[in-house]
Amino acid sequence: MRQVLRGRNLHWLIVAACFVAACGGPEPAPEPVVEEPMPTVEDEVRERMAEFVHAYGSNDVEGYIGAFAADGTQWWPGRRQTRDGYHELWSGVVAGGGGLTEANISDLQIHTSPAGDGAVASYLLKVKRITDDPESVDATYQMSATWFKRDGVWSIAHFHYNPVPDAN
Amino acid sequence: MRKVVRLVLALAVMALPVNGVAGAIAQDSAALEAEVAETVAELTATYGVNDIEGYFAHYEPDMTFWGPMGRWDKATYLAYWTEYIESTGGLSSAENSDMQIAVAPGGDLAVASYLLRVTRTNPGDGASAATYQMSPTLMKRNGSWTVVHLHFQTVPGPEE
Repeated sequence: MRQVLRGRNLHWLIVAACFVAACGGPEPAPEPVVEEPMPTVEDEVRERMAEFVHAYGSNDVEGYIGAFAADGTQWWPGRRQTRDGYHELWSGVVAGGGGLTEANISDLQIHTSPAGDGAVASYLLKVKRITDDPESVDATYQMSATWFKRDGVWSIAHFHYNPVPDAN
Repeated sequence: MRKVVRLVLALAVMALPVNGVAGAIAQDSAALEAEVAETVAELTATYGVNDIEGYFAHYEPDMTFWGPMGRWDKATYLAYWTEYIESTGGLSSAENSDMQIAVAPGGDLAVASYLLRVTRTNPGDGASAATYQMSPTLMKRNGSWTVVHLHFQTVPGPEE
């Protein structure tokens, strides 16, 4: 009788152990949570710069000019320029079959403000122009773009460029 | 009628703080622009009197630089300008015009653009005067504005 009970007890013990193992056994180790690093202000500006140059190189006039703040200032070689003036000029160039086939930046250096809503990017811009003059296809510029983030949107508050004559 | 009056009064009360904040922001912006203008004036004043230490104190050690000579850093610029002043006597005047300043919403980054006209003490065979298009970007750290990036280029003209 005792043996029968022992056998039954053993039986129930095994069943219970299996049940615990199946339902409530030790929890598997949780998957490590890999948190995406928050983009830094510099990351945001680099991304905006890439979009800006891409729009320029692909002759997306509105995308390109849209990066400039309406109240922004610009130094062009020998004179000031406005966003509206640039818009009119560049629209005419692209509409007339001109524009670029390539625009690439290098030597990009960025300073960001402590408040996180201002930055200045300086870089070299190499472009290939659509032109009948083979001497004028390649051009390189020293570029400086000062960006402000207003209402969550980065735009260029000041723009300064000059050609590098001996770069090509 | 009472309801209309109450509504108008309520709207007026709601508008008061908003106008107050906007006014404060505009005042702050004007004050910050004045600070930047003063710093740029000091930058040009020290430049024009060949005060090397005073001039370079306005530049951050990690500043970036685009000039007619290409990409420089503060150390290269300091070495060049020190040698230039020692060998030529430097400048006899420096004057700004067409100053335009913009300050980022956070109030600690600003960009100034202006023309800088200089005359040289001993130009030798070179031009006695030159004008530059200037674009310093400044940052406010520990209460002081300093230049973190400078882009300048010569305005081509008969005096060059």
